[in-house]
Amino acid sequence: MKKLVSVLLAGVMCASLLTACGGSSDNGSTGGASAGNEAAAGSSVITLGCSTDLTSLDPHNHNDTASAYATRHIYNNLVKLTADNEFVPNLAESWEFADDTTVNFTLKDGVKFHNGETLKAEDVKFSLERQMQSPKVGHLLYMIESIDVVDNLHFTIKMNTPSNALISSLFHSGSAILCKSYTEGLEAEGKTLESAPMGCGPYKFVEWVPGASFTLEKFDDYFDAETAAKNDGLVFKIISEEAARTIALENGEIDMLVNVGTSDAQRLRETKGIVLEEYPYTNVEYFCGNTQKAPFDNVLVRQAMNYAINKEDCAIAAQNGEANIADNYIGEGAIGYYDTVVKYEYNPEKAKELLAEAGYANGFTFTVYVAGDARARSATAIQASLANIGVTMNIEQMEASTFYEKTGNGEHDACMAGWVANAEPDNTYRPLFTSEKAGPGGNRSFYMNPEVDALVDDAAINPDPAKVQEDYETILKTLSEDAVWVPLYSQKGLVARNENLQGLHNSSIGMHDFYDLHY
Amino acid sequence: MHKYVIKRLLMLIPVILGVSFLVFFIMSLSPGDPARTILGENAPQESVDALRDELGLNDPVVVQYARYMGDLLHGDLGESYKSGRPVFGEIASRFPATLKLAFWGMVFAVVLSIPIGIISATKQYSITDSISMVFALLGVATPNFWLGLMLIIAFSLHLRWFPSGGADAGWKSLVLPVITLGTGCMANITRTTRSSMLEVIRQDYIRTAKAKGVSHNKVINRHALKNALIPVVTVIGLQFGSLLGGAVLTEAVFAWPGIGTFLVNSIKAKDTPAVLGCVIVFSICFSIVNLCVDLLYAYIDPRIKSKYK
Amino acid sequence: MNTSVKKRSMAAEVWQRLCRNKMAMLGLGILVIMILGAIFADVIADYDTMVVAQDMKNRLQGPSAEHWFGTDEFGRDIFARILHGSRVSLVVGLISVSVSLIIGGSLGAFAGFYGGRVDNVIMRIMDIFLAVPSILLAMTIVAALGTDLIYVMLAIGVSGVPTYARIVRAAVMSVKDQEFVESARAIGASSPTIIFREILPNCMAPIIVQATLSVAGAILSTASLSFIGLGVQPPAPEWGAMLSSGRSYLRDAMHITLFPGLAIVITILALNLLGDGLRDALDPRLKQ
Repeated sequence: MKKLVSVLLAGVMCASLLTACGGSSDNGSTGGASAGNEAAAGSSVITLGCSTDLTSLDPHNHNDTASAYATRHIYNNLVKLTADNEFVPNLAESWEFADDTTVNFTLKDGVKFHNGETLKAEDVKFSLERQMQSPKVGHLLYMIESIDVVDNLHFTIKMNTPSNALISSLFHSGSAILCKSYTEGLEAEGKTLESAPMGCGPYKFVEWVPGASFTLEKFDDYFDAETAAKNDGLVFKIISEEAARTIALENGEIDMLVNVGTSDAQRLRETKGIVLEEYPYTNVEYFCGNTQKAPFDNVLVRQAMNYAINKEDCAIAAQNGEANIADNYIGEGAIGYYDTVVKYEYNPEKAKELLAEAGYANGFTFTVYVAGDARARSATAIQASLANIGVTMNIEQMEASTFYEKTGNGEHDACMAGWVANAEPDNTYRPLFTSEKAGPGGNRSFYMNPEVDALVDDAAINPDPAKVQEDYETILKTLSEDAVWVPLYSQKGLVARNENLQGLHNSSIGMHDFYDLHY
Repeated sequence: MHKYVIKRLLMLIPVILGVSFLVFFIMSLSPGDPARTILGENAPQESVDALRDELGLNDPVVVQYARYMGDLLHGDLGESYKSGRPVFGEIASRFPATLKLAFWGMVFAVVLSIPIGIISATKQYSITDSISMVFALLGVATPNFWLGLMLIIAFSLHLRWFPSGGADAGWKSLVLPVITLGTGCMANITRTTRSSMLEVIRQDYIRTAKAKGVSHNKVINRHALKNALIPVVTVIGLQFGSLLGGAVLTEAVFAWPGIGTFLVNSIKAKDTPAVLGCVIVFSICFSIVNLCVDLLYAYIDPRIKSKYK
Repeated sequence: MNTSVKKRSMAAEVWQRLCRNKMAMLGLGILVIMILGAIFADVIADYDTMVVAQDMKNRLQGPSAEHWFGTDEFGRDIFARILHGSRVSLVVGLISVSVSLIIGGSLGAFAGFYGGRVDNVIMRIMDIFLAVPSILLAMTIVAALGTDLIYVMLAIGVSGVPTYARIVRAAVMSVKDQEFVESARAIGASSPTIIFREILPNCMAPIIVQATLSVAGAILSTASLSFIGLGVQPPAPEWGAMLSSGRSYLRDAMHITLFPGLAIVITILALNLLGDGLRDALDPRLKQ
């Protein structure tokens, strides 16, 4: 009996140790990547710290920034976005609108995939059609009717409606171009693309250790000398704890930190050997009442909120001051940003007057729904601001999934949320402010204005850029007059790096390019 | 005895059924749409609907559960809603790291706490006893993230002895997370050892042994310790469970590629298959640890053995 | 009649023995002070002006004469918040541990006493609950019922049930075959009587240790609950939430986490001192 117990125990312990060792040898293989100190000394593998792990290495199976760090460097797109927010050819040599709904594309000749195959129009057709099947990124190409291959280097995209969003959508990480024969071959063997991702980007995939890191290495046969990798490889280390990320950079364990915690920003500014870079980020954080419910159905009350809330306090509380006060409904760095909004200065007296005019001289009580730590801090600051004008705001914090459901159903009096604009303004204006998207579609203020709806529709398809600008300018003016939101602040984009590291191209929509990083 | 072990291992089946049933319905009761959570705030509703359809979320819960159990019977843990990859692979790539951390955390805790507990008990109300008590209480009340970050600041940032995180520097990367994780358990085991030793020391047969002239050390090691072990072993078993489940914060602070962060993210994303997979693996672990604990009872106290026929 | 007199005299006897234990009295003293502090919190520090009123210009200030424990990320006085927070934290700690102790303890006692099939069924159900992540259980309870304090306590309490079941079961198993149980059975005492009158008083040690230590665990779980946005809602103060909100200021303003942490340490120190004394006082073998 004793024997049996000891055998059993020994067995369990051995098993756990063995698996543990198995784990260690798996993880050990990532150790090949160099640490920051060595990189500084001459090796040119760059180690980056980021906060979240990737979800997928298949560009059609994710829609998040961390995964895009990997897939945007492994794969490539037909178009790219310049620092001046202009779309220019990438894999495409050129394109031309034959009419409102037909676009003729020409591909660059001799673009090589990592396996040596040459890019053909068939690959584009295959990739975009595969993308359209994806629930995660398929919606980006809703306007495509068909893709017709003319020859190896020419194809035509036919749209079912005129659209200004086609080219910008082709820049999205979800519109990456895959190699048809390779991907079909993999899938025929029962494997998935993400088990062995391969494209025509500047980097080849090396490995991914879930929860720990992912590694890319330079692709030597890259077609474009200008955007070819200037380093031998990239290692992305996943460090979810803010303070630990900062320490890893201070220690030299990483060369660059992509997500800088706002509480550490000031320290990094002052640290010798480290440079903190700021870039405009297209995010706007906002407070909004449910415009279908009293008291926020009253425009005077909404304007009063705009006067009553001390945005400065929100920015300090939520982001330790690493944010710019916002008056606009779209981030300053974004395409589609125009400075035509009515600005409400902080003025509690004016707020009280407006409330009295609206019939709420004695204030009122309501509940705000929030998800996330930073927004809860911001809400706490707002709570204090509103108490000054006699309005009692209760905060109800919930996790994100509950928040989406409750605010989607319109159960809220008010809520707080944020939005990051991407390269296509229609992807911001439509979900946030049109009647069709009220509720779960993204319009959590339930603001419904047929005029705004019509302007959004026009801006999406009008071929005249001047008219599109006018549409958006009018929309922004209308929204701010109606005080649909209280825009609070826009986070600063913060990237910290070793002072000797060069070649970082920041992107206001978070799509940073890392190919140029070098010492 | 063999029969007992086999019987207990067979009991795993109802336990797994119970756990999966409970968790499945908890997950489906709690508000929030997995498809919306996965696609994020910015995704259009049409995509959410398409994903719901693809994941089979539009079917009644009972149908979903039946489908899941059908797969489970074939040993298939299903595919994660979020990543689309098989849950088995997701867990297999992370669980060993968690197990490794928990194992060494336990070793660290047990090796230190049992001797300290015995010394405290034999020298009740001495300075040693008081100091160990204060340390034990500090250990229990110190949040993992606090201790972890302090250790990183001291030993990684200033002294540069150990890496600040990750699992790729061999034993060096284990040291700080093991200390962080083990400290809370250590406190618990120390206090339990001390107090059940005290209990046993007062029993008649110890007095008898002492009266018979058996040496102090022999009394403690031979007679008292063995009899004091039952509560201690119980607590160790329970702590092992909490080490597995409670490693989340430690893993986050030390960027340890374990299952804790994965589980919490899956819970937040309403990723039912991923959560179920983790929970089933946990329940197997807990059941085996508890089985070991129960077997140890019989080994420690022969009177209990008679039950395990 | 007769038994009630006996009970009262027993309680008096335990109390007398407890009073002789200096450390236990120290623990009791600290607890009484804390409870008084909680009761008279409003007198010491006004809620509206000191606990919730913000002062962004003086945020993250270290301890000073004006703010004994410094200020937090909203410029609020940490001493006042700890004082008012004790109302919530002490209640959460004590009630949720009582919930786990009462439910888990009874289940464990029955499992240990009867053994066999009863044991197997109860403990396998406990295995099931042990495997459900406590954060999931808490999230569901709070999401389904609301963030009222009572549900938060229930959530934390329920997740501790299996722990107590296993501990009490082990304790019961270790004493149930001893002579005094046999003799109680011989004189025809009923099973519940034997469990609660004979067995449990003789195996209190591990239970008391676990219960006094778990109070800290319960308060810390409110920290992780508030980290995912459940638990006590702002601006109400609570120790666990204070700890978790100070997390990102650890390197610049350690006092934000230090003082609530110390408050938890002192609370369980007091509880442990009292617990140790109580165990000795209850131990029938130590009767003179």
